[in-house]
Amino acid sequence: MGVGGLKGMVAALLMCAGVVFGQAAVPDNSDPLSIQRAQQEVFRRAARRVAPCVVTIETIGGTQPVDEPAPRQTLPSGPGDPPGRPPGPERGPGFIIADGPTTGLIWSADGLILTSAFNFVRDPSVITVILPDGRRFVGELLARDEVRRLAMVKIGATGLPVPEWVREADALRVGQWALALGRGFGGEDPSVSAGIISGLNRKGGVAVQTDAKLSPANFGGPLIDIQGRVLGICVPMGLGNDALAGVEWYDSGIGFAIPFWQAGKSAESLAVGHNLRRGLLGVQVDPRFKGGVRIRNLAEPSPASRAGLVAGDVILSFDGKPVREFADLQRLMSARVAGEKVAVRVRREQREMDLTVVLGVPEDMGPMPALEAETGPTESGPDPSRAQDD
Amino acid sequence: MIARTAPLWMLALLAFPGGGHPARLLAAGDAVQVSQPAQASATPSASARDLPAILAEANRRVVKLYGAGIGQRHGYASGVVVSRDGLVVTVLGLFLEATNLRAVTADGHIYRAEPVYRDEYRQLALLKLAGRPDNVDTDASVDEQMARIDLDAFDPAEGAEVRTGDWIFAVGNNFKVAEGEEPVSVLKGIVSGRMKLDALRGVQAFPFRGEVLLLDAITSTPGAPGGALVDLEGRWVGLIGEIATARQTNTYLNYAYPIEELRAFLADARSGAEAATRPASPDAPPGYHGIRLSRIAYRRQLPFVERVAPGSPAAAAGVKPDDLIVSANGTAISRANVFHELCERLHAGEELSLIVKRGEQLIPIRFKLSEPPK
Repeated sequence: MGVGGLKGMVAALLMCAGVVFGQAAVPDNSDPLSIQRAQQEVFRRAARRVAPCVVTIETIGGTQPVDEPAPRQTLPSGPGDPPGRPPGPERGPGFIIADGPTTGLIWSADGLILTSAFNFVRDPSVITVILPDGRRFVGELLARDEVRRLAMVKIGATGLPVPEWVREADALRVGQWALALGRGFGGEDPSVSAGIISGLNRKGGVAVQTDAKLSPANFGGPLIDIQGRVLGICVPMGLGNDALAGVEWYDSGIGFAIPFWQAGKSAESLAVGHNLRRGLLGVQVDPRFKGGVRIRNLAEPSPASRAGLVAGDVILSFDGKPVREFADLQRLMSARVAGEKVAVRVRREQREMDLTVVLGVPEDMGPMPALEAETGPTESGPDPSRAQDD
Repeated sequence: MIARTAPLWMLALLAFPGGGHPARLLAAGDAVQVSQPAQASATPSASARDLPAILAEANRRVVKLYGAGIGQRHGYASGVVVSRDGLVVTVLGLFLEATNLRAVTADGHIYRAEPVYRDEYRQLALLKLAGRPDNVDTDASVDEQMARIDLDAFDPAEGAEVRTGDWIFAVGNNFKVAEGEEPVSVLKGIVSGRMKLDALRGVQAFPFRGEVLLLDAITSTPGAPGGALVDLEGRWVGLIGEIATARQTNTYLNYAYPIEELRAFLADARSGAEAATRPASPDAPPGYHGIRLSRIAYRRQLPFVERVAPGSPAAAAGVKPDDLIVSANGTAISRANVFHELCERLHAGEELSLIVKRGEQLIPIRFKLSEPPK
């Protein structure tokens, strides 16, 4: 079906929204629950509007470190665990990806499906996409975005319905309704979880935050407003940088979605098969140093050395934003992809200078020269053992 | 007060075997008779009650259950009162095995509770509250004791079905936060959807395969199972299920048995029959398709067809070697074992509906299973 012909429905929705949020919101003063009753109806309409664009993704094969049910052991509680939660499925880095279907959202009428990279952490050998009308296609994974945790799949279909997105960042407000839709549990209609927008500009600015319950059941599905417009694609995001980081926060009320102004940038690259990787400098830093980030060591070659940075330089700002300590730099870099040009201000022997770094990936870098003293963390994380890899 | 004025689900326990056998399964012949509702009561109209009043009423109809806990299994749960004389529906769990199972009502009264019916398929149990411990008359019969019980109760006949998007409230004793006369916790959420349950408890399969309500309230926590799910009108719409994980997602599943399933459970309990909706195990011979999947010793075998027996139903329908089975009877086939397990449950004469990937094409193939060749 096309998205045309929705005008009447949108009008109806706006009226409903008026019922919920307008001033004379209570049509029936004798009924103290009229607002909640109107909300239910609005939720259902919003979900119905976008449901034709929410697809099921099934994958077959691929790697899986452990593919049987979780081992019977007491597992460390994740941050999303209430106290006393019984042992259950493994969480965090050891989370076991289930065999069930996952969710995607139609991005373009000619068969591009935007989804979460979480759905492909196993590198499946076969991907099939089932449209809401029941048609099934073989899908090709075009590329992934390591930073925004998105992935693009192509299917051989045309004339697909494309959802309406909320495109302007300032159109989103903390507190507005947000519904998460997913197909992970199967069934005819997508499952719906209701919440609000809890935060904007999260995770280095790439994500918005919601308290709708996000989990493998709706990662890759849309977060929508009560008019059925897409606010973002639901993805797992946590403290770490690995592909599964954030899964341990599932259903916790802390969830993330990639909004249009980020997803659109990503989709341009993904659609032409270009993977987006996390951008790195290729430096080791002194974790104890305050008042900037002091570079102890640089890989040779590396993006940092190409830009003219040398050991002993103190990074004072990154992309125009002040860097007081390592954590600042980590946060500012978390949303950066390889290939991006970033202005860096450094202090070298009392002198401040501006340099431009083109961020790179580990494959762009040579080895770290050996240092006599103990090694510090690299900018990709505080774990010194990873210095060799980066 | 709707439930107080509505015709109650009248229940009479005749010659009920006395206490002391809490673990006894009610057999088909046991004399448990329940009269039908005298008349269908009117659907509660959109009354002028506000949410606090509705939830306070729901809270009066939920009991806190305390029993046996072993190891990691918690010894407590919630239960829904479904008759004024003390019948309580809850989940089937280890806590029921306690010799001193106790139910505590919202007003703080403590009752002795005994399981009177267990449904292993649905994983539900019916308890009866057998007198107040502080007022036990050991000479009185169970009937007499029960006759003295007068609780606020949900009327299953007045329960309602809910749809995706409806507001729901989960009323249960999550993490046994409520004690004594404290009311239990109320969580808000919406109905996320309906699905057929395919869940694991611990590492074992959860046998129930019927439809459940998915919730976006977090109810998969110790103590909440057995609690009531009510809608905006305060009607009973579901019972919170035991903690389980979904096979599809490997995440904790927040779900409730819908009212239709609870009515069916109560009907089964009423007739004293074994749960009738168990998966069929008819005498029909096992079904035969004639497909052999490749058996290369991968840990995770892809469901590639290696051989199709000549003359078999699969051969006649056009299944070919090297086809990759993508789906069977609506289930995604991620590996060979899933296909085998699915086919084991099918009998001769039943249909197998496949989608196979052949090259880049997806081909639907549908055929009836035959009896295995002699």
